[in-house]
Amino acid sequence: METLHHSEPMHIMRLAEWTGWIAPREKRESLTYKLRTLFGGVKTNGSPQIKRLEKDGSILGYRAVVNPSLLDLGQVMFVQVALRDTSKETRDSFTRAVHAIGEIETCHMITGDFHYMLTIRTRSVDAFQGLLTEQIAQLPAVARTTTIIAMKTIKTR
Amino acid sequence: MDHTVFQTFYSGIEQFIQNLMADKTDIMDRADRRILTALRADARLSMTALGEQVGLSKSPVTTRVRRLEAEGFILGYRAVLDPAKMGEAQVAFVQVTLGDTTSEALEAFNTAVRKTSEIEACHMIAGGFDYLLKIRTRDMSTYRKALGETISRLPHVAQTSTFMAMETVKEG
Repeated sequence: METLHHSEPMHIMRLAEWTGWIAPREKRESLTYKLRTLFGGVKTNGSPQIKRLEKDGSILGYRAVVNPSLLDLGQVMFVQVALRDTSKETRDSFTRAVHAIGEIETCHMITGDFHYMLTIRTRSVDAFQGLLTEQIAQLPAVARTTTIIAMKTIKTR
Repeated sequence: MDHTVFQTFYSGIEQFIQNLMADKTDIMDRADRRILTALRADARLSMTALGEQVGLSKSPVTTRVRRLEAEGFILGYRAVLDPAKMGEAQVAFVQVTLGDTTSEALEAFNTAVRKTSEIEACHMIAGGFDYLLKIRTRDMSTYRKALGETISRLPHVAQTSTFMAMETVKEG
């Protein structure tokens, strides 16, 4: 285990990210336990340090980690999207649509031949096909798309 | 009764019971899915609030969450950190082509990727290149450094092609 410094909130945050605030399968590896061992006596849930990080927006929230295939989200696809034009109105209408489509996990505006890079999670290639042709390609702002199929996930953080 | 017939009958029953029990632990119903979806969005929902979202009262919802945890449907919980405050505001996507795609080479690459902290995500890809990496660094100059000193030096990397993210629109 790396040595960590009490005074640096970034390390506490990183640790919170690594361990979660409770790991149900290994109770002893819970964040409370780890923080106590590593920082000597720091408590987590409700500790002033963690509360401060939650309050100032350093910790944005807490999520359950679930195997995506259990929720029919096993197939990852990357879609690069070129818009008709990049006026503010066009971009805004595209962005609104992105937020409304639950299958779109991430969206970044990118440099290169396309304007946006989407990460999409669906149950299957078929389900993705439906989403692409019936929803994404239909958006008025979208001029063209190209899809990259993920065959295997090596790492996600 | 003939001994072998009895044996067959008995093992049939045993199999049936085993199947029943396996079903009981493997099956996730619609309420379980709703629970997982809700906890993926916010793991700190109170059991009462979670129950309201999925249409169950507090005690059955608590039992279900404990079961989903115990049986490994919920792998754990994590904090979501502000990337800017973590010094990781710059996102880059890197397409990587390997010079060697034997299973040993792929395994060496995958192992090194898992150990590289700047790599947030890595997927093996079908198409014109082999892998798509999502890299997080502080800014453009730290990205350049990571590319030159870390990414390009991963085992068997022959070629990389980067596009930078200028703006994050949506992120898990």
